[in-house]
Amino acid sequence: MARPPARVTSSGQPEERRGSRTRTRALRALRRNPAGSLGLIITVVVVLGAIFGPLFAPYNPTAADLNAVLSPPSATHLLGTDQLGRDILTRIIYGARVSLLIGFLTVAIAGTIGTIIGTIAGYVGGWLDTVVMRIVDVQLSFPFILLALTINAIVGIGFRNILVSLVLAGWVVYARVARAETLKIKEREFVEAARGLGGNDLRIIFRHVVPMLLPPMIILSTLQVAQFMVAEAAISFLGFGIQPPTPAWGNMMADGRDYLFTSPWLVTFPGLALAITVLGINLLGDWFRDVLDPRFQP
Amino acid sequence: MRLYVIQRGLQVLLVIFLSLNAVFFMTRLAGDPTLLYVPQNASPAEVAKIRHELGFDRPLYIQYRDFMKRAVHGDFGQSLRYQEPALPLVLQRFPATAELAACAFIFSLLVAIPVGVVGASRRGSVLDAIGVVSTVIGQAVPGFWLGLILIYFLSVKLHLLPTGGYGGFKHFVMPTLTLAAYTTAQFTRLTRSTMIDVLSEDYVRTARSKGVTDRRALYKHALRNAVIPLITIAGLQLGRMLGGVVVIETVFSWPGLGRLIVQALLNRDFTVVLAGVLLTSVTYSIINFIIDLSYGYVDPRIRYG
Repeated sequence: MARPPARVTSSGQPEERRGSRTRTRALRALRRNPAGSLGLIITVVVVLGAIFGPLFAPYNPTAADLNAVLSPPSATHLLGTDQLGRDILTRIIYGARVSLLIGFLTVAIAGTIGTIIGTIAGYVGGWLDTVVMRIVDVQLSFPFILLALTINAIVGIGFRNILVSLVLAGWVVYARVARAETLKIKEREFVEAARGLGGNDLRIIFRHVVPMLLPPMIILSTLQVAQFMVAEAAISFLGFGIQPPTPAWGNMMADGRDYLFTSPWLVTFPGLALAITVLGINLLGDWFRDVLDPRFQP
Repeated sequence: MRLYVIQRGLQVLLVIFLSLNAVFFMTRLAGDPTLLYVPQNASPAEVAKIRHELGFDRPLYIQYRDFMKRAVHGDFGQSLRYQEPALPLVLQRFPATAELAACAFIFSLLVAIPVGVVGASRRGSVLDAIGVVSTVIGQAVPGFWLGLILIYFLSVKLHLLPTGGYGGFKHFVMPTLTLAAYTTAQFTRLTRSTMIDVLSEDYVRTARSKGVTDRRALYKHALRNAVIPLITIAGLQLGRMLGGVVVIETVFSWPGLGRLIVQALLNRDFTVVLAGVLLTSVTYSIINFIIDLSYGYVDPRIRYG
């Protein structure tokens, strides 16, 4: 049987024990990892843009201007206007709020639910574990985007319902990862010691298991923010999810599709905004992986 | 081995049975399933009439028993729009989707394996850097946007390819590239990182020191051992592709299962939606079953308990 390769970080250093050195390692990794720095910069700029951008946006994102219908990018409208004369840059800035909010909220809710279920299943084991894992198997046999889309069509459109759909379709990934990690952690000496000393199970889970779960969960969550943003955009693009006139990158592209032949900027810029944001978040996630747990595969 | 096949086979059947359950209960997520089947402006009397026609006024356990009984016989009810049984309708569209997914899948492997191997063997070179940057971009670009941009450049500007539809080779180019983009990036990345690990193994060094050519050491000794993680990810990626076709078939007007499902969702034709979703889930389970069995052939060290 092949010997498993030693744990090595991307910088080629043998992995050190986690803990107090994580911060210095993080800073060093950031200096050595220009891609991670780029990811951090993109993410920070997009988040700040979404929060403060609307204060500076020169136009109203939903007000039609019939004198400026479908005008190409120019000095007055940097990224052009859409079929109702609305400024695309302004709509992208407002759309960033929707996109990011969906991404982060879904991760927060689905991540919490999935992690709790997966941790308990892995820790308790037995029939509970079997039942949970069968549910996870079944759900994973439906492609994520198809499941989220179908659920969204059933529960209805709008911000709250798209969130519900993504959470219902997305929690299983966390459950699976949390369970697998818990099974590994459960066998470690400090958990057995705590149990041997008669520690309360809930206390062991929260004091000993959950802290060890954090690194893989942080990596997974970062990458998943981007996944959920893309899913929301795809679902809104198909005509569900966030509906016009609320600006969301997905429904902006759906609108723009009808004008692709003559006014390609309607599709180009919202998609580019999404691609750049996803790129930034992915790079950040990769960097977290290098620092926290280089062997982790979601 | 035989015992393992039977066990895994039963597990697949269980997952398919549970998928049926999931599909049954899915339509009840929002409460009254009748509302999914009626136009939004239907009067209460009309709703009651349709509820009775579809049998949603019966006790839940009878509905469940009936649904299961008919589903086992491949009967998911009539499509409300096409007035045809839903399952044949869905099966009819399946080959186009399978063709597209197969093309995209093969394309990804054909690109990813050489790029990944070259990247790993010449780590830090310009070629490697180009490969790494492309994979990072490939994983970030949303498929449907890529599709629209390709249509704009290759169809609208250069008139090279048709904007959509099903047909010969030309019709396949853009949908295949679009569907394959993410997967290719994922495979390349995995091939590269696994090859980097494998290349530092003793047996590769031994092969090299024996005077085996670089090419042979790379493709025969190293790549064969890097294939296992690739197969595992391939199964998961296939699931992703089956989801991806939903959006990409819509972009390219591809007459497959994905587009049928989206149209059915927009028409609130839920019998077709459920049959389509179920077919996707069954396909995914069967493919992963086959992949599980293939491990033993690829790596003789793996024994099934």
